[in-house]
Amino acid sequence: MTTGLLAAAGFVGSAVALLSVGPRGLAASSLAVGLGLGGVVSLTGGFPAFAVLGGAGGIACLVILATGRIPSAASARWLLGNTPVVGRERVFDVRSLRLLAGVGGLLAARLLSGHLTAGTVSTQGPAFACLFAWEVGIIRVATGRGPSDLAMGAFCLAMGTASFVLLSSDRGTLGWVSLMVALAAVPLVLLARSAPWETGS
Amino acid sequence: MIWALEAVGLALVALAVVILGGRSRLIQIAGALAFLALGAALASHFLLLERPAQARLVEGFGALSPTRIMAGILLGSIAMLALDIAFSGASGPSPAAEALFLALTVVAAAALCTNSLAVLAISVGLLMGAVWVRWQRVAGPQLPVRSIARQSVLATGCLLAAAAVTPSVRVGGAPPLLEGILLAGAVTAVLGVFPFTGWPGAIGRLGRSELAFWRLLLLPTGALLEARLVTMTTSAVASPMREMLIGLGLATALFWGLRGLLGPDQGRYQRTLACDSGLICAGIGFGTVEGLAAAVLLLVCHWLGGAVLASDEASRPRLVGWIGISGVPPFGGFTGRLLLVLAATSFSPVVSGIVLLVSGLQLGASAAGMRSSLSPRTRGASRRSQTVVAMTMAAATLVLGVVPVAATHFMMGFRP
Repeated sequence: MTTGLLAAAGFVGSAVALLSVGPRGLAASSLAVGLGLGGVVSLTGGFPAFAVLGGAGGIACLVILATGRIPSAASARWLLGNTPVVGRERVFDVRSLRLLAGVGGLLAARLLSGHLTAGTVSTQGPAFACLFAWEVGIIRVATGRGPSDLAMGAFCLAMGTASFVLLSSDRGTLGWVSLMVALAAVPLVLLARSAPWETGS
Repeated sequence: MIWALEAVGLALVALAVVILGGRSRLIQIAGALAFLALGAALASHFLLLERPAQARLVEGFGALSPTRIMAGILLGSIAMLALDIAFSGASGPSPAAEALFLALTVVAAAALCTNSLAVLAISVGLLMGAVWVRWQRVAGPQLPVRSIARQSVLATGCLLAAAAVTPSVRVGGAPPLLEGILLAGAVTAVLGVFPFTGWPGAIGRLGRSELAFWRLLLLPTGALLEARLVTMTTSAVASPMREMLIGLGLATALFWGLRGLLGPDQGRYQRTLACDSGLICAGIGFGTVEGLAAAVLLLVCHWLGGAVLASDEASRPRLVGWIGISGVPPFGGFTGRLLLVLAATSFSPVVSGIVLLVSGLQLGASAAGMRSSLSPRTRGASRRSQTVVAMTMAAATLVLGVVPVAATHFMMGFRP
């Protein structure tokens, strides 16, 4: 029962990341993904594993919110220079597009998770949560309209990977998993307030 | 780890030299050459301490195992940057581009030395991400810039996922086909091969100094990365990965070969390079020494000829550059393609036929390039120094074609 609930929480966290827009949305997404997948990995890794993923998401969320209050701390402009925005009409709004892709990703994660062995966890639910987070990362990258979307995608990819590794291993992997997650959180924080490349629905 | 610290130190010294050199081309060239000399000393250090590369990918941070071919690729990249600077004069790479290039060679070295997929993923992500930030600052959100941004994330994600699902001391695992797809996806993204051909085709719009990042750094790193992954994975994973890379590489080569032949003069070299990128991908995918040697020879031919051909300015030295990469015997381009056909013959007659067809397309594209170089309006457009550099590079390509075994052994430490 607990396993199913934690896997569902991981799925909800990824779903938040799938549909969020704007800097505040990115902050909420990083927190939701961190806490959701942190709960999933706590099944095998206990509190240290939860602390790594939840901590990365929580710290990224706080820093993104903090940079909104300090204009001089916005790093995207000095990093990327001026980015003129291009207006581009699309058939679907970006959220609708992500939702459609997300439904496909849901089915793919459901099918694939049965073929993955994720350590000693007996059900495929936790592996499903990891896979869905990874797919959300791919969807954010593929539908991304600016650097912040790509950074969010990279963060989801790293969190999905980290959670699968932690799920299927002992605590010996915490070191490099922490490094990977921290490195993925850095571009998210740096690019969260960057100008989009294109706008329009 | 001592050599790694030395490499970081050398890169920082080179950064300081190049940055302090400002816009003085002489000091920039001196800085790059000093780095090359120090790097050569470092390479000899490698030889003294060289161990065989780790046979298998491992969990966690793994270990660093420098190899002679890795040192040859990276030192060659830096040497060719110096050549690019010498040839192009004021229109060449800016000091900031040179500094970034030298710093990124350290990241590429980490990617090519490690036997850990996680470290590999992080290094590839840093490498491609840094090039993207550079191009974004230079050109704004143009199409190739967006493409490489997406592809750097996808390549990193594929490698990370492969690291997660690789069966190892952990209990996790995945079907070998899935792992092969993930690794092939990462390699194709770095090399700019189908389905990730967005930025290689359009990168010429960013200018010749920016093309150097692809020609001299990303392409060699991607090729050697592919070679390492092919040899370091289990046969169950390597087999589908190789088949995918051969198919995608040849499809890319056909696509860009046709566009190189039929397209306009402007950007023809970028299309030819993209075509050879597909051939290099397929050549390494064959998994034979001939295939690897062919890939290395084609890479070196583009190192030598690319400095002349990268710019769309019409000039007479371009004729010499086109001859070197065209596939006309006895230059290096011919030897590389001949070795590629030999490697393909052992794989399948159909594949060797496709390689021959692509070689013909490349020859036609090069002939069109030569014709435009001989146009009357280009006469007298080149400086004498450019002509000297072009002739030197043509002589080097000739040596490469005539004595390929000795050349590859001298540069990369292996014999085809």
